[in-house]
Amino acid sequence: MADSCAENAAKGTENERPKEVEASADTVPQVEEGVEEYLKRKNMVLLDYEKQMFLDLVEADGLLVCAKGLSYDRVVISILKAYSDSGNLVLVINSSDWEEQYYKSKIEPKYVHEVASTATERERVYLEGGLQFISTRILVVDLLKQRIPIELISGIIVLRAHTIIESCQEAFALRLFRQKNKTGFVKAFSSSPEAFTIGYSHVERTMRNLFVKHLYIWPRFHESVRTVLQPWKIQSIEMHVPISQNITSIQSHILEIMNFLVQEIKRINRTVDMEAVTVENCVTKSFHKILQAQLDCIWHQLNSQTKLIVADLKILRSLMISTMYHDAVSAYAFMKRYRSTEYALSNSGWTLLDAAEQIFKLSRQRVFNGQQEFEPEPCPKWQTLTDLLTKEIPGDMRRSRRSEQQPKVLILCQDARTCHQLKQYLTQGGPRFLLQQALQHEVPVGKLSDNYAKESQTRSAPPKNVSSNKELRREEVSGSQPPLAGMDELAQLLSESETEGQHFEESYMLTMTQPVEVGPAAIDIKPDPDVSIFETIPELEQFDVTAALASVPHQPYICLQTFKTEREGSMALEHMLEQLQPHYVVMYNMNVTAIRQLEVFEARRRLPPADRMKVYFLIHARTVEEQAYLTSLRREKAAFEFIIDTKSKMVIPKYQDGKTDEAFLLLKTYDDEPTDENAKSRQAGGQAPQATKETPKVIVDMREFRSDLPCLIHKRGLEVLPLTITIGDYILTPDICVERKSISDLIGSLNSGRLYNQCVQMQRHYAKPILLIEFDQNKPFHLQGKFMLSQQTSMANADIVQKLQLLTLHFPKLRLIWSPSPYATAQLFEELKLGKPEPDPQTAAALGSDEPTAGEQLHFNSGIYDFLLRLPGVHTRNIHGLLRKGGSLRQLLLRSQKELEELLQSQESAKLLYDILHVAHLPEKDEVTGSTALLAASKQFGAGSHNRFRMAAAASRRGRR
Amino acid sequence: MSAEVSTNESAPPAEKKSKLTNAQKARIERNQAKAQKLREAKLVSHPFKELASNKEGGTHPEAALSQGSSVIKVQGTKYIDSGGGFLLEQPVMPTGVGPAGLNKSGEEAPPILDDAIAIPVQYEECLECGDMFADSYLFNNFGHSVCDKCRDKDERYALITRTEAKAEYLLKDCDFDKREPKLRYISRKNPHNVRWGEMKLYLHLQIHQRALEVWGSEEELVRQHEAREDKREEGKARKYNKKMKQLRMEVRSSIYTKKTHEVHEHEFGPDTYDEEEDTYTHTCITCPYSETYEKM
Repeated sequence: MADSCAENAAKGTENERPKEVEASADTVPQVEEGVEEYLKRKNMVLLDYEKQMFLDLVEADGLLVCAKGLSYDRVVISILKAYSDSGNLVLVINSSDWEEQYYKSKIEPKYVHEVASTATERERVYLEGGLQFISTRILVVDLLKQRIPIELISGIIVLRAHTIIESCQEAFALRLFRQKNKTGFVKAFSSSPEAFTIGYSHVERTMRNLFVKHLYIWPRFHESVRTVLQPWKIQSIEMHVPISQNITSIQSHILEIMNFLVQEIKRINRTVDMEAVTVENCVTKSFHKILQAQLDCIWHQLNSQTKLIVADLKILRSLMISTMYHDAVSAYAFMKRYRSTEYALSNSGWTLLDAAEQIFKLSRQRVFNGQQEFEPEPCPKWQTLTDLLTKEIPGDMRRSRRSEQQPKVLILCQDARTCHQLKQYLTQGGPRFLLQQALQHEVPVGKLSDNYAKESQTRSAPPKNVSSNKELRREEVSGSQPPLAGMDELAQLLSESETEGQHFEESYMLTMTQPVEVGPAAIDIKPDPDVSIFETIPELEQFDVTAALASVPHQPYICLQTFKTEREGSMALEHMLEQLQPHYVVMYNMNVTAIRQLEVFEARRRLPPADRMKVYFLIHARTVEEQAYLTSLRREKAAFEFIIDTKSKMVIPKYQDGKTDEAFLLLKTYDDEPTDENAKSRQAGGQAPQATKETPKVIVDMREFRSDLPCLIHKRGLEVLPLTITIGDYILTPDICVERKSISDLIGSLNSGRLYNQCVQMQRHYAKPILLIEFDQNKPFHLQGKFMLSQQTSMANADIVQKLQLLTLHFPKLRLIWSPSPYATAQLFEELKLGKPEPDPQTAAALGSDEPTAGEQLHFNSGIYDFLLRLPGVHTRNIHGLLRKGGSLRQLLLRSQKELEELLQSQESAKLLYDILHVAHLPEKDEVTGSTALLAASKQFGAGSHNRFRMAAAASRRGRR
Repeated sequence: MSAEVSTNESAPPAEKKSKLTNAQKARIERNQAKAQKLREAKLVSHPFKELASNKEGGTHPEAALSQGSSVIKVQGTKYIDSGGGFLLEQPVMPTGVGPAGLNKSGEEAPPILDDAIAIPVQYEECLECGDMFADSYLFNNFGHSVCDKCRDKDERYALITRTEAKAEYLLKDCDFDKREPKLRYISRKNPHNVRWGEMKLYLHLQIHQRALEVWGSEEELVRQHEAREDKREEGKARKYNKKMKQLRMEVRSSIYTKKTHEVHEHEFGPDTYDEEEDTYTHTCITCPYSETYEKM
């Protein structure tokens, strides 16, 4: 790969290369010239490979996979600008929040519409055209309800296309779009090649779901990319910072423990594919995703030891990061947490190894010296950073005659914590910061070592061998701050730490309080490194770079920034580069994306070699840090090679773009589609049209569109009608109502009583209520397996089964359907609907509301109906006769046992009912003798009714008296 | 045997005279004769009896008169064949009294001689308490002179496995098996898996002494331990650095392209003509490659 960090080549070679680029530019074909004029008119500056991306996508729809850092955002903006017109309707789906904000800020506000909250307003906005950033779930419902004119959609842009497989929503929306629109475009973008290597044939399935036929691959080693970036490459200086012996030993011991745990996890699970679980992958950042992808489908089969080892591997990785990047005191406090007794009882046992003991001992040695005095060692990169900022960069400024300009330095860090650490270090100095960290983390500081106390004194006391002017300034400083003893300094830091908050910012701006040189005749005074020459700029609160630059016009400017922020994502770095235009960049941590963003930024500016950025890489050679960086590079390269190899072997059907009807014939399984075609051909012959079969319909509740089942139902050829219904989730026929529950939802509903209420509603309004218990596709199809929901698995299962039994006893008409996956559920729905009439959407929507409806089941008051059903002796066969001839409750009480026998058609039932109405029963002395389980269940559910009935009976007796 | 037979024959006729008829008596006699023939037919002669008789005949003409006796003379010593696989030694008697004595011993039971070998008992002195003992657990298994009462299996006379001994005292296999005197051990089944190699248990005291013989002193042993640990750490670091370099070469190939992929192009000097074979030869200036070709 071309990630060269060596010094630049000779200037002669540099002069030759721009000529070559110009020569190659002359041979650009006419089409590209036209595009270039168009792009210039649109005020877009694209690199050559970005032009090629744009041209490829404009020519044919496709899936574009590019490397991280070579952002496709400019290409997306170009496409959006090309279609920014009222006559076009372009939808952008699957974008994250920061992507949406970023693209909206780049497009003219006239053509960008906010997503309306009401359906009517959305319908109006759709007809206005322009660009829409819309959620996929809303889009699916609008497509199904015909709110959006599908024929008029110009195209759909899918961002983050590698997540298409995991959720069926985007595939559903695109299928609905392609069934009625054959002319619109579909363009998909992804910057994550590693995601396409997970799973089985991920690339092919993604392209099939996207209805695209072309795959554009843009790795960093693409010839076009290298041609563009090579002439304008940044001046890279790689500085290898040696780490201390303690850190080296801790690192090797952590790797030893990781190796032991990896071997253990492979020994326990021989049948499981643990190919990706290696020590090298444990160190990288994406190990969690790799592990989740591999183990999630068999997580229920793993034993507890494996899960403990997986958790411990994550802890060990965090320990490694803490040792490498955090200060010694924080690392020691973090390490101490895992040496407690509580943790030793709950982990997989790695704390009992000898290497763990060495780790604990060495991490303590970094903070306390041989005599147990507080003397923490500084971070290895701190000194190098200070040397860079105070000696190297000013020297380079003088050497390159840029002393007239204001030096601007950008320091890039991995996370906000590192940013905060560097800010504190630069403003306070190492010893004070470390002492403050010790107080924050409650590390016991018994006494300071002599060297450390001397260092603290030296930092605060003025040196004596300075010139008279500096003496005056130092006297002022010492006057404002009297010399501090150890205890006083501790007290001061303690008060400071109490007031300081723990919030970490993602960006800091500093400046250097260096005395300005009067002129060329002034003596070159070397800045004193002992004095804290960095201070924070107060304009940080408004995050205004221009104001910050203007406030310190002649002083060096330092900006601390993370690679990506929560608000702007990875675009934050590009934003900062555009605003700041730094002369020097310090890569405090290694990151592939940031390096490429710097390269692309430099290629856009096209400055002469003397004016280019200088990038300093602070890297620990031959450590885990370099290994993690190189491993991420290798994995990306391997992913691209895999995709390139897959592309060379892919078989793409001609109809995959969905612009012909062949693509959808494979999806439908009904015979009425050929019948329709035959009907059309007969009409062409002039015959009278025959009545065609109606497409089967399923009414789906709005809330069910969060799951995959509506998409799969639609995929089997059933028509999906989205509707807001209060009873059930799916209406298959006028008689069949389905309530779908996943396992976790089932447990929650049974415990909270929500399922009971839902079943009451279903059995009241539908003849065949169905409770569908649906398992996940990747989970086992049995209840006896271990769930991650509850820790008392057997107890939970027993409760579930018992409650389901009570539910079936109480609702005899309720059917339970067990489904192993949503795919099986879709097939079940299709089979349940065979030969049945179609459901009526209006009737389904009206049910459950307060409007009166005509139905056979609703001849009687539902409250009285339920009350009588709970009395002993009354069941579903005789309750109708009782309701019709029984009269009121008072008349029922006056009837004799023989009259009840005639009403209930049973002597036993009559006796039971007569006894419960006329004989006083005490609940604690009731003994069920000779009764069935149904009666027992009825009694259990009817406890409240029993008490109410006794009060009513007593009231009626008082009425008689 | 003959006397017994005759005794048996004489007794029944006396009883039968008072009861049996003559025909019955004749039948009894015929049956007895038949049984006697059957018994004699089943007898198999001893294969070495003739040989012994021949030897006796050759040595003593007078002894040949008493054929059928079981006296065997080997190397000047007479043995009495007891018939059960054992030869009883008989002291030499005078020739004149020999036949008479022999007859007497034949009539009477032969005397049993006590010829057990007297095994001398060696007693060992216990190194702990000084008592004398014939055998003990440690002496039988390890050759260590400590009696069973003084054996403290958990502290002073603990056992150690071969693997632990090699790891703890940095010994090799030849230190156990070839260095004199060889260390003795007890074999036990492997506790991890019965089918695996057997566990060899050595006496810890002897292992310690052998380690002192090999390394000289305990300080030297500790120094060796530390040196090996340092070497292991260095090996681990070197292995890690090698892996890192391999990863770096694989990923950042631009740095290593020149070294690995550089193709040498030859710059040949002037041609040299060979008249005999009618061929031309030129040699590269920078490397020792030479090429021979023909010209049309």
